[in-house]
Amino acid sequence: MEIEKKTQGIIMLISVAGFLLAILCGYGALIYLGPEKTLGDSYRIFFFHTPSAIVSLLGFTGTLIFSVRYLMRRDVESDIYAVSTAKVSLVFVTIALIMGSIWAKFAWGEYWNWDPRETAVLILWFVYAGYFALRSAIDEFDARARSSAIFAVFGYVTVPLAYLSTRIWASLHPVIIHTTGMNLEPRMVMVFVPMIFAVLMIYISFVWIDGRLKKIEYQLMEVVE
Amino acid sequence: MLRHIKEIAIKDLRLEFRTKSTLNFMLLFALITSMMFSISVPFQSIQGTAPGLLWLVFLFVGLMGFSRAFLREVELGTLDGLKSAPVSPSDILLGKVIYNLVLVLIMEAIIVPVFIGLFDLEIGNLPLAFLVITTGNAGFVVVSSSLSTLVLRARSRELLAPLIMFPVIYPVISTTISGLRMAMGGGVLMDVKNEFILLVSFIIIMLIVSLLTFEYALED
Repeated sequence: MEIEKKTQGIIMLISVAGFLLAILCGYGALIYLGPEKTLGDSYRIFFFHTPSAIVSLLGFTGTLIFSVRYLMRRDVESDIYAVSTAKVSLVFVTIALIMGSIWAKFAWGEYWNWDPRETAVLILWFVYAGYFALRSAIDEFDARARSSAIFAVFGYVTVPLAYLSTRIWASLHPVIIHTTGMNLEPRMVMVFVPMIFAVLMIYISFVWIDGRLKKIEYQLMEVVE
Repeated sequence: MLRHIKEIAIKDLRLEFRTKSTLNFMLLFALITSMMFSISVPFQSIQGTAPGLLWLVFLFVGLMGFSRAFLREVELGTLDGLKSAPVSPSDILLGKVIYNLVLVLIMEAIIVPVFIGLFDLEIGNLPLAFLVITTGNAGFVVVSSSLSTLVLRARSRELLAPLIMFPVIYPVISTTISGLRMAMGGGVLMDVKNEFILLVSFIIIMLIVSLLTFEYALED
């Protein structure tokens, strides 16, 4: 209980800091930075679209880790966090998809272009939507946790594919992060990198809150039974 | 180990050829889908759309047929027997994969000629087209054989199976179509080199994941 309290404090701190940092970076993206040469003002959505995409991919990696941990340990906690990470990542990737298609309308002329990365991320979206469909169709706890954990391992293949898609196929998406550095102006990096951390912090607090809620629900169910 | 895999594949094939129910259903379903495609696609645009349509026929059929390998064990109540048999889970999986591969090869031998006749297709490189379809189907079989065990305990599993399989095999779907298109246009093996690299690496990755997780999938 003591540890739980301590983590709760830390998570509170992370979430507040995350929101404040996000507001600060939002100010940076919308007001502080000037319009870009070719894209004008439309490029500002980049500071929201890309961090949520990056964080969702990291989050699905979390789902993979918790799923493998469930298969090895068979503990309720791993299953709960596998679901929470998948759930919040799905929300974030949906945000990234919607923002991306709005931006695409301005930058490339159409909402949807079947660009390799768009396609790969859409497929990834379907994989994790399928993950929840699979979970909702199995009633028994062990069978549900096991089947969805195995499926998460299979489905994870789409995550590196979504990341590498711009490098494998010709894509409209630019490659921003190279091994040698970032393909951005220094002023933009100053907003972009902290924004990733801000979104990541918000992500972590969402996952923790959702996971804790599910844990309480589970304990309640055990008491009732 | 090889003997076990062979035994399981032969057991399933023997069971299948006794009734031929799955094979007949798959065949009829493939024919009916080909007919429907044939009446719904205008004659002029057939050469361009044919690779996609042919591959769709195999996808639909595979989706119906491949999961039967494990569903039948559940329906007949023989899954527990299979689990308690002195064979390792990976042998069971590989046996089922080989059984499904044999089914798909039989399907290909019948459906592709019918499809060509129905649409009056001109195929530039027929052996290559067969090779591409077979490789694509191999990837499909590997994934669907192992994923079909996940839905065994689910409600409305017939609906759920395509939902979880299609996104996972998407790389196979898109790559096979582009390979097939090139083969139909008269391309040679070197033209589809990239497609083959992608397909084969996908199959290897999926096979490794399947073998690693299958032990858990079969548990009670």
